[in-house]
Amino acid sequence: MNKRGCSGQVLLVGVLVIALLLLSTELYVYDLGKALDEGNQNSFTDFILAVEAGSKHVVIGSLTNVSQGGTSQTLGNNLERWSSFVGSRYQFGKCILNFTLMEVTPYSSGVWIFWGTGGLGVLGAYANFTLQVLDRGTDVNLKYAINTTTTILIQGTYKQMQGSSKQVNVTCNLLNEGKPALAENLTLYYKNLDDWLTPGPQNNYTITDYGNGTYFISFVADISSSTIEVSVHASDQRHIHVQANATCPEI
Amino acid sequence: MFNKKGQIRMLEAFLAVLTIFSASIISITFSPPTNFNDEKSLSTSGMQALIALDSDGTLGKLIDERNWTAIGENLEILLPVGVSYNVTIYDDAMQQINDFTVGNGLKGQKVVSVEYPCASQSSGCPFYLVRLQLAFAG
Repeated sequence: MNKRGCSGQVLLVGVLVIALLLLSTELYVYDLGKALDEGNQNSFTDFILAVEAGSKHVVIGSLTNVSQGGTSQTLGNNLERWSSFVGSRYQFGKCILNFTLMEVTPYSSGVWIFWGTGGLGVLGAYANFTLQVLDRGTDVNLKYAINTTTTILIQGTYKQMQGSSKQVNVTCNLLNEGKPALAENLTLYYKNLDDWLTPGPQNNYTITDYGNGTYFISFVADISSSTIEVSVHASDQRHIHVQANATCPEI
Repeated sequence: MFNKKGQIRMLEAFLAVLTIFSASIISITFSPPTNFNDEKSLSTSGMQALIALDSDGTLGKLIDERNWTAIGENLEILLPVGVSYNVTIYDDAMQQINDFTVGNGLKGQKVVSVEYPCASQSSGCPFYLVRLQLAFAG
């Protein structure tokens, strides 16, 4: 009798437990779904990625321009254009892109050009960016820096052959941001008297590409001087041109 | 006596049904949208495809070369299966530069559009706006 009297309460408690389980499961699913939904709503994150990638491309393009004879102001002008372009293209709010060019030595107007005689040639650009994206109820401030550098390292030696004939061996290393990079093209010049000459097939000119940014160049030439100066001009696959000069000692 | 017990049982049963029913109603009301075939997932897929294509400067290079076929082929690979798309490319003066339609024919009831600002790595540094329209085909 007592058991029977309690059965209704047990039923209600059971029902409450089931209802709580249902609600808590739904709450969990709702929370997961909300996170997913928030991820989708963050359209500005994709836009930020696009702006960041574009900034890098602008720096590379400007550096290509500078390496081909453009002024170092090109970088600032192009970034100014880019800031204005992205500022007017954000659909869901406001986007403000500001930049500062590195002015610390060796950079000037964000550009570092060093085409040295000791076997090192560098062309680099450095800019700091601040990006503010104001979306519906969201304010994102992001700082990032873009540092793009193409470096060439050359070193060579020569061996005296018969007469004034000399065999010259030059090793070149091309680097992008300090990492080995492949060359789009690479040209070697050597100095004879006051002229810079390009070795050809008549000079037994050979170039070996090791596929890791290292190139070995060998040629034979009649050079009257006892010091041999070589100059290597190279473009990386981003079309950034660098050059370096070196004096080859006799071995 | 029996009648009263019966009424209480009925009342308990009614309460139980009411509790379960209200829990179900609350659950349904607060259910998040779980349909992935919506506008947001489409636009995210589109932006992700363009970001992937632009990560190494390929997108800007292909636009510089006016290689619309290659852009289409790349997007075919990067976009999910079953998504139809249409690409329109504008220069920084907002003049359309693709002279023919790039895409696989936009099919579907819901069409979303994403805009991607793109800079080329070439020495002239041209900027482009890529407008990608997407729809779930079928």
